[in-house]
Amino acid sequence: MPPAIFIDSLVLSSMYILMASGLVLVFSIMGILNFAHGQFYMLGAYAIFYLFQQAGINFFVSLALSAAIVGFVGILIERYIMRPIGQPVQAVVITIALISVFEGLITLIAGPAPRSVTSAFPGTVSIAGVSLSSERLATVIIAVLLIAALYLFIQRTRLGLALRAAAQQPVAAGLFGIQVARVSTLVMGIGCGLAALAGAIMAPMFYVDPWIGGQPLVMALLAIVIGGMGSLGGAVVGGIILGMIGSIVAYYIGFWSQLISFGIVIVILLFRPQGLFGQSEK
Amino acid sequence: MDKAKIKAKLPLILLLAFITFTIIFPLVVKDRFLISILIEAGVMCLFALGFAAVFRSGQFSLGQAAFLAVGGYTGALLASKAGLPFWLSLLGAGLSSAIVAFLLGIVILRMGGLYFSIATLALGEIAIIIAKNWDNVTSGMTGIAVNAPLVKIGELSINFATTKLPYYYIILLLVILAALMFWRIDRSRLGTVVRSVAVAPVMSEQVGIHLMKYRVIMFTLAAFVTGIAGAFYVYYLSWVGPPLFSGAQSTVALIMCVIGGLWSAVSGPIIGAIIVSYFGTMMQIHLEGLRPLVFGVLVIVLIWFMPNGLVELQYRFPAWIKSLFKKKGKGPDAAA
Repeated sequence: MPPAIFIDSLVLSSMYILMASGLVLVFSIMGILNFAHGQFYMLGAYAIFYLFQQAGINFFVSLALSAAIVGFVGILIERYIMRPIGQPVQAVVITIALISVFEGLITLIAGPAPRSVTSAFPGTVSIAGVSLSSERLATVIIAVLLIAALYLFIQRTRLGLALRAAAQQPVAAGLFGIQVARVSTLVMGIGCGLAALAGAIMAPMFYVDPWIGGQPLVMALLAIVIGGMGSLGGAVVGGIILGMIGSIVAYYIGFWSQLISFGIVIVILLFRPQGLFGQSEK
Repeated sequence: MDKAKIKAKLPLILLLAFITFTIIFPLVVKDRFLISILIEAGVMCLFALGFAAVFRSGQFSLGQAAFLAVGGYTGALLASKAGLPFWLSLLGAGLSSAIVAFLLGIVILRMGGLYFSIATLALGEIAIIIAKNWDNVTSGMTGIAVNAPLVKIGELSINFATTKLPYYYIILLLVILAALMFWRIDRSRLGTVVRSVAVAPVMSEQVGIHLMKYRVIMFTLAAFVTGIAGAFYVYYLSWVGPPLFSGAQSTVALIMCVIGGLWSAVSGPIIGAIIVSYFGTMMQIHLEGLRPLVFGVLVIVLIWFMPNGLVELQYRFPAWIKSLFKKKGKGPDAAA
């Protein structure tokens, strides 16, 4: 196996993990799956296209800006559309409708033609005699740093504590003075921001068009069921498994690896219906 | 007849009037394009009814399009390769879809709730991947051209090559049969048990209800109806290929059910399916590029104002009329 394939698997894994952790966060607090999560990924990719490629702002500043902008869009949607509706099934359908809203909007603004973003880290680096694309390496490093920061935020800060409490026992958390509604708004912002970051760091490696959000969403959904709903660690493991299947297994058997990605989800769920790290639900 | 009796019979009268209307409609309105939209709406009705049936057992299937695909391909192969007559291949498509659903159901329905949803999502994707790559059977992306089999009703035989109108009546019949079936189930003991499985799984298990049994029953029934819809759709289009059964189709069923009304087993999905497919097609023609945006915004606005679906109007509308009359009664001209 060439080392480039290994780096590819890490790149794919980090994309899936970033997407999956945002989905898991939103799910654990709001109790719904955000089907428009992939479209926030797409918005992030377009944000980096306009900020970094067109306006020429520094790559890291553009990353932060795109996460902030898209996160704010997520906050607005949670506050003014999802919360007033309240019922979970209806809220899920709202997120499905948002898919076509965002795709339609971006098609209007940016046009349907695919765009490309130039790499912020051109060239290659050689480590121990193996030359690797520095862009891919940088992507993996950024993703690892982001996931570590997210972990520290959830485990080590007061806000993270409030978040965990609201996820476990919303009523009890409310009784202890945590404003659960505000926490869920914040979580929606963080989740959408993470999706945007995933889209932004992946944009230079893939092309950008209004319909790129579908595939990352499906893979993120698979990753969170492999790992177990509502567990961040599970999302990481699920993302790594799917990333390896999508690149290393694909290197050996080609297109049929897709069938394995979907098949393995069903097989894992057969033996552990609650996912690898999840708790069972009836 | 006194007023209460008339009031009790009103839904039945309205329903019969509606069915008569749908029967006469294509004879009066000779708009071929409208009829073709209505035929597709009929297919979508069956599809949405299937989704609603699974939803009533408390499960949220995101891969119903997979059963549309199983029915579609089986129907195509039975009709064009095996040369079976229309009704037999339609039945065969439904049965094969039901068998697949039964075998998968006893396995994947073990996982509750969201795990089931994602497993069905994966199934839908697997169905597409197989359809795209199993060249010997499905011919990949090129698909299979299907000659619609001859329909024989008694002595009468219909040739679809000349007119598409018979399709309208066949799908109308299928929708009415499926609606009757799901309505009867909903009213029966089985329907009550299924609802209890959905609303309170733990309690139902406590009183001795076998959850899996009822989930599998509904899943299989839904797949049977969906499979028939798939085969019919394929005969109508005379072609079968992977794009017909994309994952987006499964979410369309969900949108239809929510717009129509989730809490009614039959009327909600049917109303939603007709409205969404009619306006969806119209928007595609008149708005072109704007369509996804307008469609999404409309769905959000509809859910915003009517979270329980269009079925809610039957309660809102009479109340609105009453409030109008009340205002008139209180007005100055009433006093004069």
